[in-house]
Parts: sequence; C-alpha cells; structure tokens
Amino acid sequence: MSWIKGLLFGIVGFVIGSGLMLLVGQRRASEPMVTVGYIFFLVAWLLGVGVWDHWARGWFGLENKPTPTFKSHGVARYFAFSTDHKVIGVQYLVTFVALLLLAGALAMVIRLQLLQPTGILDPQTYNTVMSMHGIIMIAVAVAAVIGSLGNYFVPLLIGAEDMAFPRLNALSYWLVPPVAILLVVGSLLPGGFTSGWRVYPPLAERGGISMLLFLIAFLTFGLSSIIGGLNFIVTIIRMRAPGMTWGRLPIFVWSIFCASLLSLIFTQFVATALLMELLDRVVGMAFFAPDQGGGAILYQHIFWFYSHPAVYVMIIPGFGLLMEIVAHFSRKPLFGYKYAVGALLGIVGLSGIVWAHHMFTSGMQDFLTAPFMLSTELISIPTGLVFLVTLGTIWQGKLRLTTPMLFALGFLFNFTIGGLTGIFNADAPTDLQLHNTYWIVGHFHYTIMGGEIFAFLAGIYYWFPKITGRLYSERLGKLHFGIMFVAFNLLYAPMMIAGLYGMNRHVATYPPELNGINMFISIAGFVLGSSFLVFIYNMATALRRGAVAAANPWQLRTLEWQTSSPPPEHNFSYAVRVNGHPYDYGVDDSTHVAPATGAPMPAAAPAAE
Amino acid sequence: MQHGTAALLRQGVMVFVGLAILTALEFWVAASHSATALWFLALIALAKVVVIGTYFMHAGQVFRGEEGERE
Amino acid sequence: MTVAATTLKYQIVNRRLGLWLFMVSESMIFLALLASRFYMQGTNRPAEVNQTLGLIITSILLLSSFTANRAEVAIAHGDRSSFLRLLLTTIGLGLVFLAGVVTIEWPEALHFAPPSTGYGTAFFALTGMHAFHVLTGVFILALAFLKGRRGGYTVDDHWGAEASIVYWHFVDVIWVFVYPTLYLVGS
Ligand SMILES: [Cu+2]
Repeated sequence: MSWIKGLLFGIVGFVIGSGLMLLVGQRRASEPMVTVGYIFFLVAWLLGVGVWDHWARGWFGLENKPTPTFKSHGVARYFAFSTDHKVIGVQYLVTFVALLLLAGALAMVIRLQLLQPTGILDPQTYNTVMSMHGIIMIAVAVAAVIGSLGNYFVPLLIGAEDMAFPRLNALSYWLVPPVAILLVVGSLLPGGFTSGWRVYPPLAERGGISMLLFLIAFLTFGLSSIIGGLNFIVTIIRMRAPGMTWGRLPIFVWSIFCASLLSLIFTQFVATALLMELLDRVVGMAFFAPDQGGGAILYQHIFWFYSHPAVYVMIIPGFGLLMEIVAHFSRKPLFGYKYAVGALLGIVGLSGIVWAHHMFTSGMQDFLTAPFMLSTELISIPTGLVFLVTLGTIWQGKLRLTTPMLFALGFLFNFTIGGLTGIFNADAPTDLQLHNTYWIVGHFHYTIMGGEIFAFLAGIYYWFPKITGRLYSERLGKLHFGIMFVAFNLLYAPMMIAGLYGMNRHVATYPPELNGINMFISIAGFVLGSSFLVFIYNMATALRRGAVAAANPWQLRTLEWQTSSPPPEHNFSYAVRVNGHPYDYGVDDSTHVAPATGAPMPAAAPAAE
Repeated sequence: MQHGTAALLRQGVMVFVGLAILTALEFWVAASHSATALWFLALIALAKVVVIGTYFMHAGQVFRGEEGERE
Repeated sequence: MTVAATTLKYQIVNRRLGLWLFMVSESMIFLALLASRFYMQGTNRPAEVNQTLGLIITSILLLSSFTANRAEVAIAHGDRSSFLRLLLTTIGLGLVFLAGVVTIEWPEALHFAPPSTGYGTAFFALTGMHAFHVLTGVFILALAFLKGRRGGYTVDDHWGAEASIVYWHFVDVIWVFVYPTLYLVGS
C-alpha cells in the first residue's frame, strides 16, 4: 500500500517538478529538468509512503494518523510505513538480501564475460554491469548489517523499547527504494554507467542522463546512511536500560556506535563530492575542470576522505558480530573487552587520516606519500587487537561449532588474508606495481566479502530464530558454509595471483595467456553463487515449516535472548535492569540481567542444537 | 527560573555587541593587514563561533541530561 | 514497559542531542567546500568583490541572530506575543538576507566571477549552499511561528521553537566562516 501510494505520489511529483522546469524554458530531458523532477519525486515519494500521514500533518497542526501495529496488521505492516525498529530491521534485511543477490547475479555476469579473453558483452554493457555490481554491493556493505541487524538488535541489546527517533528510522529506510529505482532505470538508459562506482571525473561528468541518475542515487543513499547513523548514536547514548553502563555494553552495540560515528561525519564528504559533480554538470561550475585549480585530484581527495572511513563503516559492525558470536559460542568471557572497545575507537580515530593511500598512483603531491603510508600502517595496530581479542576468547573455550560460529571463524580466516595482503597496498613501492590490477580486487573482496558478508551471514544465522521464531536446518546451514568458504578462497586467492601476472581490473577483455586462471576463477565464482541457493532454500523452508524456536535456544546471556522469539511489540514484558557483564560465562554468581519488578523471565528451553 | 528576563536581555545585548565588534575587527584586519590576515581571520571566526555556541545555542545543555532523567 | 514512560523532558534532551549531531554532520559539507575553495584558488580573491554589500548582509544576519535569541528568551518565559513579534522580525531579516544574496550579490558576481571560473565556482557553491540553509531555516522558523500562534508552546514544552532558533544560529555560524573565506581572505 505504502509502495503504491509512494510511487503514484512520486510520479506526480516528478511530472510537476520537471514540468516547472519546462515552463522556465529548460529543454526536455535536460539535466536541470531531470534533477528538479527527481527532487520533487523524492519529496512526494516520502510524503506518499507515510511521512505525510504519520509525521508532517503534525507540523501544520493536524492530527497524525497512527502507524501500523503488531496485532492489527500482520505481514502487511512490513510493506507499510512502520516505526517499530523490528519491522524496519526486517524491511532492511529483506531489501538488502535481495540487493545482495541481485548484485551477486551481476557478479556472475562479470565472471561469464571473463570466461574468455574476448567475452560476450560489448564493453559499454560490461561497464554498466560492473558499475551496478559495484555500487549495489557498496550500498549492501554499508547498510546491510547496520540497517537490518543493527536496527533489530541494538534496541534489544541495550534493553530499550525502540530507537530514539522511530520516525527518522523509518525515513532512513524509505530513502532506499528510490536509490534502487534510480539505479535500475539509469542502467537501462542508453549510455549506461561508464565510470565504476567511484564516479571519478571527468568521465562521470561526461556521460549522459544515466550518469546523472547514478550520482543522485548515490547522494540519496548517503542521506539515508547519515540519518541512520545519527539515530543510532542518540539511541545508544540515551536509551540504555538502567544498569547498562558503557562498560557493560555488548560489543556489537559498540561496533554499531563506532560505525555510526563514521557515517554521521564522513558521509557528508562523499555527498559533497557528488554534489560538486552535479553542480559541474547541471549548472556548469568548474570544480573538476583541470585549468581552474580543482581537477580530478580534488575529487579523489574528498571522495576517499569518505570512502576510506566507509570501509570501516562496513567492517566494524563485522568485527562486532565476530566478537559477539565468538564469545557466546566459546562460552567464555570476551577476552580483553576493554581492549576490544579501545581497538574499535582507535580505528575510528585513525580512519580520517589515511585516505590518500588510494591515490599513490594518482599524481598527487609526492610529499603526501610517506605520511599516508605511515598512518595507514598504524591502523594494523587496532585491527590486530581485534584479532587478539577474538583469538584470546577462542583459546581454551568450549567451542560450539554452530552455523553462526562457523561463519565467524570463516571471517577470522578470510580477514587475516585480507589484512595481510593489504600491507602491500599500503606500501607505496609495492602499490605502484599492484595498483589497478586484480590484486586489489582480490584484496578488497577478501576483507569485505570474506569479512563483512561472512559476518552478515553469521548474524543472520545467529538471530534468525529470534527474528522469525523458527529454527533452520543446521545441516543445510553448515553445507552453505562449507561450499561458500571453499569456493570463496578458490575464487579470490587466484584473483590476486592473476593480478600479479598483470590482469588489470575494470577491463572487459584480457590477454589470452591469462585465460586459464580466469576460467578457474569464474568456475569458483559460479560455485560460490550457487551456495546461496542452499541459503535461500534453508531460510524459505524454515520460515514455512521450521521447528518453533524457544526464547533462548542456545542459553545465551545477552538481553535479546531474555524475551520471546520474536519479541513482543515493545520488546520486553518486564522492566529491564542490567546488573552484570554480558559475557561472563562460567563466572560464579554473575548475571547480566535481572527482572526488576519480580516478573518471571521467559523460561529457558533446553538446547536446540 | 534561575535567570530573570532582565539578566538575559543584558546577556543577549552583550553577546550581540561583542559579535559586532569582532565583525568590525575582522573587516579592519582584512582591509589593513592582508599579508597576515588569514590566521587572524581564522582566530576571530573561531572566537565568534565559541560565543554564539555558548550563549545563543546553549552548547552546554547538550550533554546535561539530568533534568530529563527517566521516570 | 521498559522505557515506555520516558518523560517529555527526557525526549527533549534526546532531540537536542540529535539536532546537534545533525549540525555537526551538516558542517562537514561546508568544511569540504571551504577546503575546496583554498585547494582550488589558494587565497586569491577578485578585487571586484562587493565589500559594502558583504558587510551589510553579514550585519543583517547578526541582527537576526539577536532577535532570534530574544524570541527564545520570550517563549521560555511564556511571553507569547513578544515571541511571535521577534520571530517574525527574524524571519523578515532572513528574507532580506536572501534577497540581498540572490538579487544583488549574484548578478554582480556573474560579471567578474562566473561559475565557470575557479573563484566563481567556490563563490556560488558556498553562497548557494548557505542560502539553501537560510531558506530551510526560514521555513522552519515559519512553522514555529504558526505553531506559536496556535498556542502550541508552553514554558515547559517549547522544543520546536528552541530547535528552529538553534538551527538559525547554526546558519549564522556557517556564515561566520563563509564570509571571511569569500570576502576578506587574501587580496
Ligand atoms: Cu582505504
């Protein structure tokens, strides 16, 4: 319902906005016409999906309509403007898993193309496919864990009833569909996307209307990310239950806090860089005209000033999930909790001073190389601490190798390789050789795909019983992990080797002598893709006829397990009071939460492994 | 109410006059010392921001949550 | 039940924190644009920049900050009629500022620094982005004015008025940096 109304409103808005621009004398399908039309579309879409009904009426002294509730709306509330953080979490989860699969399918197209040196697509189409894969996966990596698992579980983990700003939360979700719409429409327009997800000028300023749509889609997504980050920060500072001190905060909550700080502050820079490109295109400014002092290097500075911290927006929640899951399934206190928090904050602190390591080959001033090399390598200290904490937690633990635990351990292995190969990119002398080859592609996917996406899957398997109230098949889950882990390593390790042999990235064709290794990579890629079929099948059957999950199937200590599966509308049926550390497994007389009013906690069920 | 309206009025006027003086100073610095102006101007701007932030925007209230504790 | 009974005061503190985080975030846009101005042009400044106009609109904005502050004091003490009068003055000054930028400053600047030049790009992007924030500020102040006229604010609960006025001061803070960067720095 929200969707249809939003689209109708949006289309009317676009017609009004672009019509106005025609009236003031702009040409049809000109850039100002499309831009203004889109701004009207976006505002009207938001008003249509529910901002007007449930929010903006209040600004003008009218009565706001109530938002859909748990009881009266059933499944329909997932398609409506809901302010319940659990509904929004599920909306994010489904949307971003769908986007992950879509962009994964595009990756299959890329690998199909690279099966043979000459490929099957023309270069133009290939560039569009590659850019689409890039931008969608970036969006998934930035928002999937924070938006879905963060939204669903941060309020639960801190004992809150909802986020601090429920309506803002809904707004940040409803900004995502226009991004997807713009990208799909843009990719189908003649010209397609030419410049990859980083949209460097001058290429990005020269393409047709499709590139304009790409820029405003990216900008809209940035807005959603900023709003989400702001909401998490206020929630975590202000909405913690009594007794939930900063020192008792589950590490996943800490990680979302750190990632939110980064997205609040740094996302504005990519937004500004994109805005500057838009100003260049639409009103003829000269930010990136080389003869006016700016040029492409200016773009790269601003862009990477965001986009390096962005990789921490992606991976810090992954670190949080890793440590959370490893502590629970090792049944030991998290080793060095304070160091773990310090490490995450240290990454946040360092993330703003390393960006130019992406620009060693760009032609920037030489004196920048050494300091940025040094600052980049400093980051391995806090990252190393995270690994130390994880290994120390596993050490002599009573490991329970459940599916989420396997994915977490897979993360540990993959990210070790991703981190170690990163050293060669941080060192300018080696980077000069490796830059722009598949070495970079392999390294990056080892960290984000092997790290964050593995963590995302671990999180989905970890919390699936809580979200749905159903149990999935552990056997199928482990099968998914097995295929995915093996295929992953057979896919990306050879990619780095291909890079060493001179396989360039962003190319539609390549020298015939690299055919063998590319074919190997492609086949491993197809196997990796097919492992997701197991995942989908497992989730779908579990949703329909999985065994009913108990409130706390694994006897864990944190708050989200101390309420029913799925949790009731306002999360807890008792007043939460926290009185101990979340991870003190095996510590005598230690509890994390005690009901303050004497109301019974949900009975712990026997292990369901 | 800890502050009477008269005291708040006096404070508002003083802040306004202070900002006006800083603006005049900034204009004079730029007009007469163009060689060293950059750092002076940056300092003056920071001073203005501190004044506006403290007295007009009540930055001090942001983390003062006690008066709003939960029931 | 856990935190269902959060008080109004508690929520106001939440919102105040949220507003400040939003302003911190917005400042980054201007930080990037200001840095770009120096990256592109160093401290170059065309001699034709209209100093008189710059000083006048800066003073207008400063004056509006004062009236906004007075409006806030008024509503915090329950003086609704002064609040409305002062808020209206603030909105009026905001509109005069906008008119000064858009109808006098921009047409002049088009001659000596069109947007296709380095300085012109910085000039129009910074003043344009700031003018956009002024416009949203005027809009929010107008909403607060309408709500105040309906009697929507009390001594204890006037968050909407406070927020719109704090945001207005934020717009002024931005100008504190934009003005010297475009008008005063360099020669
Ligand atoms: Cu980086």
